[in-house]
Amino acid sequence: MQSKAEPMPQQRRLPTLGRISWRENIVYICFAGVLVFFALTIGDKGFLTVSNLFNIARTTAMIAVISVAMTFIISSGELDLSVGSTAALSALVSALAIQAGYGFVGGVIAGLLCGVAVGLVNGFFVTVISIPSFLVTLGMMQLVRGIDMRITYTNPVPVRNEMFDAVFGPGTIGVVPILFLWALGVAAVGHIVLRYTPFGRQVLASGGNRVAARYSGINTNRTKVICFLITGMGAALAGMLWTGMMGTARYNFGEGAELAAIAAVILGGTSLFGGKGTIVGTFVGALLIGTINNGLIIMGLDVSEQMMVAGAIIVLAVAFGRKPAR
Amino acid sequence: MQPDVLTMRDIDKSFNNVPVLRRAGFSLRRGECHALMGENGAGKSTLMKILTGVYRRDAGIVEIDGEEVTFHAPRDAEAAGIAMIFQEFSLIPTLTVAQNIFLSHEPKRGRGAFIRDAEMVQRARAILEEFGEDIDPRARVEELSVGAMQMVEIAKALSKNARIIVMDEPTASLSESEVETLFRLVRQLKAQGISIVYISHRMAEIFQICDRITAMRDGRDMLVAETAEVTMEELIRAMLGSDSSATLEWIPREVDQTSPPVLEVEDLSVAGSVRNVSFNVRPGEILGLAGLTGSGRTEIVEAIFGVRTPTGGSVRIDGRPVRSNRDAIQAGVGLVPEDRRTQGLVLDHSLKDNVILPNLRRFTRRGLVQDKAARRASEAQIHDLKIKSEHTEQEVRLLSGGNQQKIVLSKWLERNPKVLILDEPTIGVDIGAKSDLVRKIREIADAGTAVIVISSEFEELLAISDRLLVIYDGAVIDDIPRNDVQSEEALHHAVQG
Repeated sequence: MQSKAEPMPQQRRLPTLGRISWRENIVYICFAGVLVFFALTIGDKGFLTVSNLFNIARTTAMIAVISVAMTFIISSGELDLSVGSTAALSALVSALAIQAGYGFVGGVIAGLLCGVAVGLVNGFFVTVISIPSFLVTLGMMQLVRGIDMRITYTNPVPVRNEMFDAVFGPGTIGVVPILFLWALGVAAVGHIVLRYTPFGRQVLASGGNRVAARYSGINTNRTKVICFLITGMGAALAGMLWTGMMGTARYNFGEGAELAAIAAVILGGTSLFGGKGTIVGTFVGALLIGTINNGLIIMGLDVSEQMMVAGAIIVLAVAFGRKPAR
Repeated sequence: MQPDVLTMRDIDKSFNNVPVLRRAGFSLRRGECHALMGENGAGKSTLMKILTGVYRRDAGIVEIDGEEVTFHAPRDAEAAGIAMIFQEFSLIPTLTVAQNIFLSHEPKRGRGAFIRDAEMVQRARAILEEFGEDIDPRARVEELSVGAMQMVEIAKALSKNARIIVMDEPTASLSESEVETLFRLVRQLKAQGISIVYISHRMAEIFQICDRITAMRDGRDMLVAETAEVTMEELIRAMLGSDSSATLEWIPREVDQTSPPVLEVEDLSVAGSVRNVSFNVRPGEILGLAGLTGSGRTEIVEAIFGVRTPTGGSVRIDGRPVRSNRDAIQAGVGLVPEDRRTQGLVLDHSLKDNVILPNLRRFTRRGLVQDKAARRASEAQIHDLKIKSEHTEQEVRLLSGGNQQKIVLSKWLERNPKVLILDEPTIGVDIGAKSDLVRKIREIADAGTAVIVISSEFEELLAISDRLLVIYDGAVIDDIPRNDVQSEEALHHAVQG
């Protein structure tokens, strides 16, 4: 009690201009730097061709979709590690539904319902039972991946459906890959929802200060459950995009996608502790990771070397983009 | 007469050129329990933080056993045998009692590589047994009662051979029987020659347990006396001074007594803190809740606002029952909570985003938050409340306490509340912002809003209230029109129960 009445030591005030240009835009600076670097070093080996750039866009689309959804849950102060397994579950279930004759619409609905189911389970344990989301979704990641393997005993499920192929397939509209259009569309909707709707404000407030949000009349539990539904459905959509790209649903879709998505979100400038989130940053973060992977492949690095370089870049970028310790 | 173990003389301390201590003094005899009193902001915490090495004095002398000392860090004070027991205990809940007592000075072996666990438990037990308390040294601290935690804190101090123990509001969260136990322990410590500085607002306890009393005001020690030779009136006068009424003046207001009450609280109870509280507030009335910290005043308003679940009774707004936080907000209740930083604001967000947070629906058209309207509304609040902020996008973390408090207030003013509750609205707020807030509270009430104000600063409470409820130990013990309160002293008297 007493200490509150005393003058606080002067707070450190940083000049905002310098901070904004460097720290908050680290992802754009990195992205530009990586593009220039690859253009200079491997520009003549096909990196700069339109088809390669669209190839990056196509292969990054799924991670981008998951990352956009992940931005919501991280902004609300929680985490969802179950997205990769959920993507595979919805890929398999939608493929099986189509195989069983429920058609395109039936398949898509079945796939999305998988995402809803996982989201509801995650949300229930995190809010009603009050278990940290890291633990709940870590368990769900394993559990759902187990289900993925069991459903078809790890056999792939091919999808032969013209509509599915046209909507989620590897084709293009003009020169732009359909998969990339999905990612763009999801990012655009995500950006508007997070930035301009009351729900977006509630997410950021719940993550920024849960108690203050509650004292402002916000139902923080409801907000978090909806965020888990968003990651569940985002993962489900990504799963179907993977199926569309490959023509087949596989149990191992999305392995490691949760970590790539978290990396994209944090690189993009969203706070891991909640309260601050940007979909545009996330989207560029996902593209950055995809571009690094693509460039390293063209440079002829093998998978082990790719992983080392990509990991190092993520750590460094986050370190530079971090707020200084108070 | 015992020699002084501690003498502090002519201590000066300023923060940002604002003097907080002005030639303050304090002395402590061996085996004495010495009360340190004063209003919030009188400087007692700062003085004790200088003693415990948290702050460094600008000028003055500190002597331990007649030798001058300067502490550069809390560690130095600890080495000199000074320990502080904080209000929020500094124990680690997941460790055991023994581990907490010997934290960072565990008995070791093998050149300090390994902790002697058995010895640690045994020594912890020895200290606790001396207290006559049955606390298992192997129990985890989180399993203990608040009273037992405090015993562990004291045991921790003793394990470091403390000779001077500073207790900050030690009884604030203790039950009556736990207070008895604490007092027995204090007497025992005194008999062992340990000296105690006892910081408290509760005079009954001070008169019961302390040998001497120092009362502070405006950064100075105004009165030092043997407890037996001083009266409560003299103490209150020393703490308040005579010129205190000059800054805030009471302006009598007319409240329409014929209009029906907007807020009706009946038999409200909250487990462990509020007992059968009933009262009404009329539109345009300013009701002051006077009580000590821990008296249950905060719990009462939190139950009305619906963020604390009542165990009995009812709350009605305009005759309609309020059962949840949602009901309360929709019925037009607003709460400016006690701790603006943790309860009132999202510190990393902008001024504008904080202002619109409880009002999102009103700023939404076709599903989208109308940024322009939100900015205009926040600009109006900045102007109206004289908030010192360059623009509406300013992160509230970077604003001063007074400006932050105005933002919390504006969150609810945006809604034109029917009932506005303010819990300690002026704590940590500079004098200019304080008079802005007081002016605004009167304005809101004049416009027909029922206002409830909680404040530990009775001068301020008396300046704005039309009526006062005296809260003691979770119950309303008096309901008095402002007119009938003779003086600030009388109110100080009343809240002591």
